[in-house]
Amino acid sequence: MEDTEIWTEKYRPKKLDEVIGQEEIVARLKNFVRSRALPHLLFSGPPGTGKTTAALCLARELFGEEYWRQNLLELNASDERKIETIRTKVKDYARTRPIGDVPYKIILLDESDALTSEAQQALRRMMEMYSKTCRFVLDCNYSSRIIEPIQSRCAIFRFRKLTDKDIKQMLHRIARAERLTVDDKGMEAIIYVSEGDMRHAINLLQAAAALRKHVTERTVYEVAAVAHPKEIREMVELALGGKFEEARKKLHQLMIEEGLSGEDVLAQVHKEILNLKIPEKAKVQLIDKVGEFDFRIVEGANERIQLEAMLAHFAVVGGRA
Amino acid sequence: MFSPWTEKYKPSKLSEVVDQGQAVKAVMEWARGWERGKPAKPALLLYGPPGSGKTTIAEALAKEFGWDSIQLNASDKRTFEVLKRVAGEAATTGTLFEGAGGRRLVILDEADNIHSRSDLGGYRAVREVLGRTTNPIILIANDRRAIPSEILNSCLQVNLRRLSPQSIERALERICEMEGIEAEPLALKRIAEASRGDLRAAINDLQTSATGKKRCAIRDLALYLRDMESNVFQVLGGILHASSVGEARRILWSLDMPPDEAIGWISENAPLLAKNPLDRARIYEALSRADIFLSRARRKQVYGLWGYASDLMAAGPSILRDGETVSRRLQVPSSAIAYRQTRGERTFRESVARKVASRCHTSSRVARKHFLKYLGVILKHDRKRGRAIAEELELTEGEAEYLKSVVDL
Repeated sequence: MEDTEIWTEKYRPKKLDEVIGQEEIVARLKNFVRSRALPHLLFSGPPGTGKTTAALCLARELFGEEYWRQNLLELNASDERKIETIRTKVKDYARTRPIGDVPYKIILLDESDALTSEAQQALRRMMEMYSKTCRFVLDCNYSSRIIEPIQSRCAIFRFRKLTDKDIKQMLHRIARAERLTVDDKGMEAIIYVSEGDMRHAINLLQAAAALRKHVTERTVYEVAAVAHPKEIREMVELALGGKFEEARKKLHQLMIEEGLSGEDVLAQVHKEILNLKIPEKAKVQLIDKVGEFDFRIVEGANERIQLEAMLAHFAVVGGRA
Repeated sequence: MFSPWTEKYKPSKLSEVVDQGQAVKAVMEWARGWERGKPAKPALLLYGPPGSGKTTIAEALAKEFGWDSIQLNASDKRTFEVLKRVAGEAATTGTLFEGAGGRRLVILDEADNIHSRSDLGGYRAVREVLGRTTNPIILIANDRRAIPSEILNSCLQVNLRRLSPQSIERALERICEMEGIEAEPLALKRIAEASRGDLRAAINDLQTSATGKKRCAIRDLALYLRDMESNVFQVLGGILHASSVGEARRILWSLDMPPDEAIGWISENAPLLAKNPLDRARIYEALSRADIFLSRARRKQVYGLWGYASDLMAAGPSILRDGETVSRRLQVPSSAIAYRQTRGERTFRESVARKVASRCHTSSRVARKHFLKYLGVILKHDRKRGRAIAEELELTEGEAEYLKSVVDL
């Protein structure tokens, strides 16, 4: 890898042995490298636990420093919305022979649980069709969102959420290399905000370090507030307080200016509900509504109209509470 | 035969170009440089709002210097093949086109709209061509910030201003004179103001409302300018107070608008008219259900389902409401306006997210969520590292500015 100033890349492990917190998985992957026999793989686990890193390290060790890049195709299912574009890319890629002495290439499909089940069926056929020349590594957050026929064709690896200790270890390593100091409270704050997501933790550290070389709790929360505005909470409180029109304005602002997707908004609303100062019974009703509108959006309805409808329901619940 | 006045009255001399004296001077200076050999800046970037005269100036320049000219659209992929060929062809064109001054002017339109995706191939091609061209090149763009700085550096940059309403008015007067149209001064003024400094739009508006007539009156204008919107508002008002499902349906059908567009107008206004929250929630429930039918229709390609969607969105607002209404002015869908206003920003956000995603082995969704704001902090507060990262990601000036602008720290 050429020089990089983006720390998530700069400090991304290059060898399987350097991958943090997934010892058993690493041991099994190293066996595959040793025997050069690789099945299709399904990596599932929360964001920032090392799935992509493990796949990149695997390719590097399998093909060697010289060839791994040519023998690895990275695709992202959430960016290549149409299975057709994935199919075309896979087809073009699978057509040429691998370089070096390993008889197959690797196709890494990130966020593969973003594919609909129809698209997954098509993916399954691709896995069959190109199994002589290609191995698929599928990354996903939940293996249950992957259809059975694909699961049964893959060796499944469940990446566990990283512990506070895992993340601390990495952050301290970076701090030493970058000549920073992070005090204990600052470290706790990064861990709290990033919720076990290593990528998030490292980005947060880098942004905090851009402000001050001595990273404290205050710096971390200052930076975190920029990235995670309080507007979701404000929006919910406005709706509950009967100020529907203002709540709706806030929603539009979040989606248009901040670029939040409906999914992002719902996830944060869901999280905020528990912190609200309303009767517990009302919280249960709100959660039910959030779930219902989430389902409607998943089914393909328009995010804006559905979220507005959700806010209108919140106003009713808020009026009763 | 119908000929657009924008073509018919296009200036063929630089001195006839409206209101851009300084820019024209700079452009002439640059062209004289090419008469003496290859100038230090082989390319010229003309940038400014639509209808300010960019293409007109480029074309008039070629005529005035006796250059042959070729116009290419930069967002077209095939353009770069042509471009590479033309760039090194001066020696032969000089003899082929007798009296063409030995030069061939390449006009590259929409230079801020090159589809480069992640590989930046389009801009790389432009950069290469600029480096070895033996012909003058003019790049045309609305937004200078969308162009990579390496390209900007090899261009002489000339900014065209938005035209003033007064000079647009004068241009319209001249056209009326030549067409033998008697125009009410107030009418021309109104057109000039509505055009927001876009002469092309103003001339088009004039032609639409005055063609085939001897007079251009303010009365003809008002009808034509705002026809569409008033119709929507009338229909909307009817829907919100319909007394039966049948009436609501009839009113909605009288509007020539597909239901997936109509729901935007209805959901903007109907819920705000209801006074009590329960009514509002009920109306929204109907709209939400209507929207589900729309999405089913789209996904399964069964547009018969549109009927249910239309009925729900038409009847829901009036029939499901028990309580009183508040009176308020009807509005154009606000999110549609906001979308239009923030379009530039969203383009930057998406293009940066794509670049981060491909560099950091992730999706643009994750990039938007867990990278952009943090990168903004770094760009803003650690200039040295920020510059290195901007270079690494091959950010344009506009993209870097965008990242800084979203950070409130």
